[in-house]
Amino acid sequence: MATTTMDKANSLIRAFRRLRFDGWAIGAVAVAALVATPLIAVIVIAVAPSGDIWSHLSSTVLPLYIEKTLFLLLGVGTGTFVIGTGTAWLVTMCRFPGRWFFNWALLLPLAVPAYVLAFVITDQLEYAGTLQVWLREIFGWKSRQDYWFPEIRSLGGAIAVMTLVLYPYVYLLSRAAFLEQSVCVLEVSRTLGKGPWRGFFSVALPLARPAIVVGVTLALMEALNDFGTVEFFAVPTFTAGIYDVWLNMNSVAGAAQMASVMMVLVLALIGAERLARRGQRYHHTSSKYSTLPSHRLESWAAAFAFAACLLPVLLGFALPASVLTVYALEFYSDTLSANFFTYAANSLSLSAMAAGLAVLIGLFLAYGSRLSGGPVVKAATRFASIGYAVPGAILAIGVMIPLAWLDNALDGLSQQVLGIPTGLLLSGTIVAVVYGYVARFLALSYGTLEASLDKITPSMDGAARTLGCTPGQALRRVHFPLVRGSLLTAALLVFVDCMKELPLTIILRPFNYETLATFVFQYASDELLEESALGALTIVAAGILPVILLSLTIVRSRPGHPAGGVAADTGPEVAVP
Amino acid sequence: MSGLHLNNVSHSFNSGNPVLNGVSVFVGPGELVCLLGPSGCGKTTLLRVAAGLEHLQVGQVTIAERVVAEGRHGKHIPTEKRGIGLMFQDYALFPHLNVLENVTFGLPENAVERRQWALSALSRMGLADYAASYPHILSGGQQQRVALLRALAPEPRVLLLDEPFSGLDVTRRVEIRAETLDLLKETDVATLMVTHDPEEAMFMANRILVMDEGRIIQDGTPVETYFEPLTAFVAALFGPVNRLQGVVRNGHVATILGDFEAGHLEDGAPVEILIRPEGLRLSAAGQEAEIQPGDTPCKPTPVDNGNSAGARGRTISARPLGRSSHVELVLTAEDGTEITLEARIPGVFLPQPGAEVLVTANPRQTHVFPAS
Repeated sequence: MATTTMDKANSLIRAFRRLRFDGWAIGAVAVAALVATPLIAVIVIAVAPSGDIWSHLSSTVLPLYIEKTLFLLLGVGTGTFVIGTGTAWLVTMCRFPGRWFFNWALLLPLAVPAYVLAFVITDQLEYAGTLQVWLREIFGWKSRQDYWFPEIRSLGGAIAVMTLVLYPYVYLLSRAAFLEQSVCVLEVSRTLGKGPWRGFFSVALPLARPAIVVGVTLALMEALNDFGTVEFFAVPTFTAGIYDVWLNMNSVAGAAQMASVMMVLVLALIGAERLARRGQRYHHTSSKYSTLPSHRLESWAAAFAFAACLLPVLLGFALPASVLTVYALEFYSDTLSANFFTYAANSLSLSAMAAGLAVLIGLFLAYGSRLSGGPVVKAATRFASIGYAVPGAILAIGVMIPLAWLDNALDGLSQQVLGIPTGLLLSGTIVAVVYGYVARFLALSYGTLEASLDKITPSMDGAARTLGCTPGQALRRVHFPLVRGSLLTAALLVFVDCMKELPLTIILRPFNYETLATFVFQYASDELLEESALGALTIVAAGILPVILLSLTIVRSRPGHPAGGVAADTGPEVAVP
Repeated sequence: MSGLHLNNVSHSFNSGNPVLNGVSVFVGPGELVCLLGPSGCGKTTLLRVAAGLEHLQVGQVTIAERVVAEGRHGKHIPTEKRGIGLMFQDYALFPHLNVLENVTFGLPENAVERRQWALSALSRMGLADYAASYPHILSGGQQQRVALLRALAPEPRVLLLDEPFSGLDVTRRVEIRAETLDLLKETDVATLMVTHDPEEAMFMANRILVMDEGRIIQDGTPVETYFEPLTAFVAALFGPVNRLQGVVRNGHVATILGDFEAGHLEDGAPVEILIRPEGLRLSAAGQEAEIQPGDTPCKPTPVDNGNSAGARGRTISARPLGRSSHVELVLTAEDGTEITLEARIPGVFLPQPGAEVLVTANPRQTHVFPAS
């Protein structure tokens, strides 16, 4: 008896000592838990039974939300797949005029938020828009009844808009995959009598499949996240529905339940992505790389290739950028008088705060999991960075719930002890917005920094430790200087995504608090695109920064050689670790 | 007891199989002990446990009379407080710091004297001109020197070296080994070095600990380890060996090459006789063995004093290796079975294939073990 008690005491002491030693690990788990709280909150609320909202929802709008969301995903998935892999194949495998320009220019639409493109396209293509006015003049049509024109503000329009700004994800990843493919495999397929077309479908495409799936999944996650486009086009998807239930029906529980149904979709997407990524490891069958065989396209084929690459860049970037520039030049004084500088300052400070925090936390988590290497810490950091896959609207609900609970608890405590109500301290403040941003975009900074830390051999840590550094000193003296460049990259990625973020900002912002994104959305929804053009242009300009970063890595990687750095260093691939 | 003392250390990773199994090691101040063994025998893990980079599970680690880790009570003094230096196989020089900054990394700001030492040590190693250079422009040998100086700069009580010369080419290795040894002699640091190269261990070590499958099999001086291996594994560690079978009769075992002492092995026990290639002596039988024209003739003495009775064999092939010659030969036993042997003869000795030679074995290089 005595010995077993002794043993128990000893093992307890031991566990305690371990804990003290693993202070970094505990910190990492705690921070990860804090970041993951919104996710957990949504799940908890959704599972908890709460009245009859559920039956009401399922009998009325829910089937519609599900149907529209699925069609949206199907459309965007097909569209981004065709455009993304098609253009990637053309620029990597064929020679035609403009190929090197398209190589990086095809990424440009990534800089344009979907809602901005939606506003511009509507502005240009609706009844009063440039194109239809022009058509009526040419053909002498008098009114809407004289001719047929597709309705822009529809599900089809939303699919087109999102496809145009999201295909670069698929383009980027499948391009890298095509470049990584061993030339031998492709040449073998040629010697076995397959032409370039059949070679593409029977060898190149299956080999690149994992990368393509990852790219399409990223595009679909972004499509699920979109709020501005579907709201403006009045397409009842889940994200629009959550916003509707929460604001118009004033039901947090209902919104959370919608969110949890949507989470099933998200989890399915994450699952598909993980599966595809697992396969990726086995897809390098040969390590021999040399200049890829690029065949010169004949005149008509070259013209087709040129047009196929030009169209997405034209519609996805050149059109919105030029229209906004023209409007901005004409109407900039309207924008400025509408408090543009305040909104820009709000956007900048919110994004900068979130970027700083996300980088700090990301570095802490990445270093913490490097130090302990234990499965608990690894799992916790993984879970914390899942926020990127969760649509902003869901995450916003998840931020609201714990903050409201905390506010109420503080208020109650204060009333009890001091007799003074504190009111709402956190919810409805910029703290909530920054919290949401960090929870959503932590994966960007964490993934970038983890990849960067992975390049530092473990013996560096050992050397620093044996030379008298504590883990913290080692981080400051060795790791920090070595990953400095990646810290900047990570901060930039988070910063730009925060600038563009709409649904989270709209739901979580303080009353009457506008950022550039909410200002543009507000104005453009009210048919005041011209007056907000300068704001939209600013967002697009900020969005170009990471695109330049990506383009540089693409241009630097020589033709026919694997663009190794692209995916690992800065690619959106790091977004979903 | 100062120096490094690992007492009864056992360690296993998640997979369950023990990597270390009750290992005890003592390294005195000023002593250099080599852990010699094949890859995967647990020697690097032992080093990491001593450094505290791996949590001790069972046993005790003492450095300079201070217990720094105890398995049972979970005591664990972190690496940075143990006063050890560790040199990694890949050197692990900090790429963002220049050579001098690397060497002085472990020194406190006010350690003026040691900083002075660092500068003079760099110039002694011929690295004075590189003090402000970054590691990536240095050659492998230069990087090795910087890493060694960096580990020694804080005057550790214990120095751990993990395959310190494996990244160098053969000629550079010999030179740097001697240099390292000179530098270590000036300190009285207790050095534990891991290597899989027996020649390196023989050259560097005061004592060699042979490890296999997580256990220490033999602890002895280089001469003891080479000439008195305790097991066939230890004997075979120093290179390929010729193996003969036999049975003990009256304390001896009879082989085709003569009788050898069987030590304390029981009568009737089946045994294995290991003879190093360099333990075989060959002499030309008759006139057939010809010295190649143009070579420096180097005739081995026909029969050494104390060598075995010897047997006649036939040359299969003979190849010059520079400092020695490698001869493959075949002996026919009384019952007609053929036995192939390898011999390594100093100098140039190249009998024609098919030539008859007289083979004798040096008992000092012949080891009898129970058959496995």
